[in-house]
Amino acid sequence: MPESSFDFAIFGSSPFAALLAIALATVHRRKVCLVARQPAALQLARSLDVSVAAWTRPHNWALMQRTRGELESLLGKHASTVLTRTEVALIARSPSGVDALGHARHMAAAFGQLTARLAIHPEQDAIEGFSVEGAMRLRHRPFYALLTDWLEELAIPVFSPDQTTTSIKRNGVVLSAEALHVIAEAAILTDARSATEFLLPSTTEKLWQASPYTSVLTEPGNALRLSVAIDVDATAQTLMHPDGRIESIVRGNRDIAARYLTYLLPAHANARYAGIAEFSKLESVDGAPVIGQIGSSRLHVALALEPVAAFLAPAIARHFAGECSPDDAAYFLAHAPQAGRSAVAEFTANSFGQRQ
Amino acid sequence: MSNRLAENSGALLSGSVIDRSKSFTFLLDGHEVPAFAGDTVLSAALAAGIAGAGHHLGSPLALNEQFSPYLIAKGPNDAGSAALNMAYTPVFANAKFECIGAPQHSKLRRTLSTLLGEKRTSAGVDFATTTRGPLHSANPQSASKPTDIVVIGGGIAGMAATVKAGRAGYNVVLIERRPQLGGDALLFGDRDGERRAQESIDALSQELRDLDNVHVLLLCEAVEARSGIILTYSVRVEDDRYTANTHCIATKNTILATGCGDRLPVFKGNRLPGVIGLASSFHLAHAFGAWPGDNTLIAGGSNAIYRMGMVATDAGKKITQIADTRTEPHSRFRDFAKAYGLRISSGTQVRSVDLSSESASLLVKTGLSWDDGAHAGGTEIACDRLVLSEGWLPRLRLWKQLGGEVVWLDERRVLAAGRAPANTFLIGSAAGYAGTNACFESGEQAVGTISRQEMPPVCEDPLPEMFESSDALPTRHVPEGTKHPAYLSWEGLSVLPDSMPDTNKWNAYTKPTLEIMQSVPGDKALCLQETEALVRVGLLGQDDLGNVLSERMIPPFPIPPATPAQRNRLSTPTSAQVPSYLQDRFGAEPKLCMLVMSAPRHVEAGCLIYETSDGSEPNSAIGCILRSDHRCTLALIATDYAHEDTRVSVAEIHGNTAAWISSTDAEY
Repeated sequence: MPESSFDFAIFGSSPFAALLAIALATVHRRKVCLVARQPAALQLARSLDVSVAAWTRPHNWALMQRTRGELESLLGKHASTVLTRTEVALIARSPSGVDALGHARHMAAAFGQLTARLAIHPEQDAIEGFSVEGAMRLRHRPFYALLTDWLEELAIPVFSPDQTTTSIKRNGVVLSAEALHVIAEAAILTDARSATEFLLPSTTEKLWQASPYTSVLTEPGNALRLSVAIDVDATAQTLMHPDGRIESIVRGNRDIAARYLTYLLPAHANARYAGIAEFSKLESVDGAPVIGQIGSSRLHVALALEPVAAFLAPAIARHFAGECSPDDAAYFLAHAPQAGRSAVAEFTANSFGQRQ
Repeated sequence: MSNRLAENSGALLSGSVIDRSKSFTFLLDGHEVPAFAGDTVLSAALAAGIAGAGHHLGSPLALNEQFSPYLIAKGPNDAGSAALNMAYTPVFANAKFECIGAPQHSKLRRTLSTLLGEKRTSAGVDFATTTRGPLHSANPQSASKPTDIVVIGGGIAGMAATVKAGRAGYNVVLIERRPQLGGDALLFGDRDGERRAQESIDALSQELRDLDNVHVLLLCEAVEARSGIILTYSVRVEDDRYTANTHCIATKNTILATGCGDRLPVFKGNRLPGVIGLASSFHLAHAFGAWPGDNTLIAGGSNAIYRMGMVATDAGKKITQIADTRTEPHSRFRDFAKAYGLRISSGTQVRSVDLSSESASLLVKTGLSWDDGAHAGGTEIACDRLVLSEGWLPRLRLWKQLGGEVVWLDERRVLAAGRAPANTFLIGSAAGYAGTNACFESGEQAVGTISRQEMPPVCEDPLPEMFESSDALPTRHVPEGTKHPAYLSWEGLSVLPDSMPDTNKWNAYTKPTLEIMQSVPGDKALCLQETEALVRVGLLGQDDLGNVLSERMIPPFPIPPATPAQRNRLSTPTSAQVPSYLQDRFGAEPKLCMLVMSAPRHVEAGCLIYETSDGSEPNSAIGCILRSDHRCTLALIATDYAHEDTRVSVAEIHGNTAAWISSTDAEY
């Protein structure tokens, strides 16, 4: 294989994309390159990576149980820097959302997770849910801080999507730029930008859609006594720092995000905005991950994995490397783009017509 | 009032808005402060020697027009309103104010302090614990009928635009944050061949007085601009009672004549009490006749430092030295300053400022400067006041809020306006014009565009370099010096980290992000000055500028607490169908069954149902609970197991409970 050839070109700037590249390169000895833009300085978070989600179906919990510990192994010496143990609160305030969380909690308990019911603002009985103890969170800032050297060490090149032209040809996925011409056997699309660029809407509209999202950062204040909150009604992920800063990624525009924080935070929160960013994300129509090859093309996708994307990276790498266990293979077959998918649907707020 | 310049000490700095025949005192945190009619709380405090706003990061912090504590009026002056901004709050005799966040001493302590001759030099606010956000609300009240044009900024460009629009019959509102019109034009002096600034101001002011369709708002800040809406902040005084007034003005067109502000050079101790920007010091002296301190060092890289030295000398102040960062500057004002006998040094840059234990307040360390701040040698200068001029930063906050583009001009190391949003016009020095004529014409041209009138383009030739040197490029930063913080702006509280990361090591991904987030302003909204300084000192790449401007340059509004109604549970109707997440879980056509629990009670939705009591493997579950109350329990059960009277086991969190199926044709 010429030096400018790769097994996979992975498109995406998230920690998941980088971890997928690292897992393929190290565990599965594949030659990979990354097409990613470095996060801008002071950029607000676009996602949160924790090891649990509000899954109602057993196969998701089972996959995570099989994958437990793999991310830590992949991170190796960096694990203690970038992984932190946390309590994750899964919350809702609609009857449908609360029902779904009931199913998720009992499924979590069946898989041995320690859970506890919780109520936020109990005086109004407004937000209910449960917490999962002993979950893990990937800390993005320290992860990105060590990523450059790590990728260099593993000889994984990073190409900027702004300076690279990509074309899908019969003999492979060709990346070209000034003084650059590389070819990859396949491309793995992990973000909205690449999926929108390379795939026709007619192929994807029944699988996923782009939705507006808003990321909010607040100044330190009196926050909730929670570490991570995942709201299934608002489709929101909120991270509370020990100093009271809050990072919240909420489905909808900034007005919706503001309303969400207003009812989430306690009256004494005294929080002030420190940053707001609006962007769009791909969401699967059925709330379940979409992982696999698009038809018989050279394009593969790994989308709609939040908030557990980083923790699924080792398992998804196994899948793309063709080294899955039978149980894993069954999981990925059911979550493939062309699968029937009725057996994988998860709770989605929009399926009940709910909007904040 | 030793910090006031004499009334007849030169026309420019005599205090044009104060009435020296009406002197009185007011109370600030229980201490008497002398003032004249026309003073603001800020100008009176500064003139009384209160040079500090408080302390932050273990150092005293300067009080100035960009950064001052918020006030509440006390006693009969209290109208129960929101916080008052010192710079916009006029004073009258016997008014009483307290600084928010300042320690309130007892009357006995204050009396003792007076008897002991202790001089109050700081408002004493602890900015580590005192939150200082925007004064206005994030949710303004609805606006009235839109006016034709709002002009923001009452310098020559704004005045010219307002007069032209007024003459053309438009309804115009002119908003000026200071107590008088004219802007900073008088600071820069007149150019040969151009109309004189003072004459222009006088003529335009007269015209404005004669136009009935023009409404001028002085001491009024345009705090936020949204499409077609301008939010203003001012302090209203009615019957000796103070009210913070946030007003919402709807407008069809917005003309921004917001001018330029002092750029803060980044070195340690750059905001110690006694340090002030050139334009701020000029305004304080020009409007209020206030010039604290006896000995002043003026430092910077613009020709205005020489003019400032001259007018201050005319007003009787001692200028210790004028230090120019440029090595061979040319300016007629420099020649005049030499003729005044002022001590001038070139190629000299301020490295750091420390507090002095001697009679002078400040100890300024200077050194030779070339390029971007590499230095050799150095001297220390003791002074009471340090006036800094690091060039000018266009005020583009409102421009950006209205959707205007802001770009970084690397060759000049400045931020500048790019593409304009609809119905918005940037004029005057904020748009890059320097001379009186060009500012005047840019104002008239904006109105010409609104009225679809053919106007010649504004042309301005730069002054020949051999006569008037350009301003020095802004310095990056000076890393050495005292223990005092190096702030990034006059108005924010973000500081440079003590140890700057090695920018040469930054490459792909975000080492700089990590460094910045850990040490600079990662958890604060940023003002334009701070963002510009981050680029200037090399902590923020130009590529990232757009993102930071877009995401982090926002008003730090508080998030209001929810009302009880907002906290109520969502009342969306429950779906009439089995949820999608249960599809194909228990076979293709599971049945809706009613269960009877062995001990009647509420069972949580989601409990798994097993065939026997020893079932615990989720994949072997035959169904699950959908909902329940004390009387009945609805379950979804696989067809093969859905038979009346069949016994099942319901797995609750704390153990299994026996139940049986009472019916298999229930409705969801």
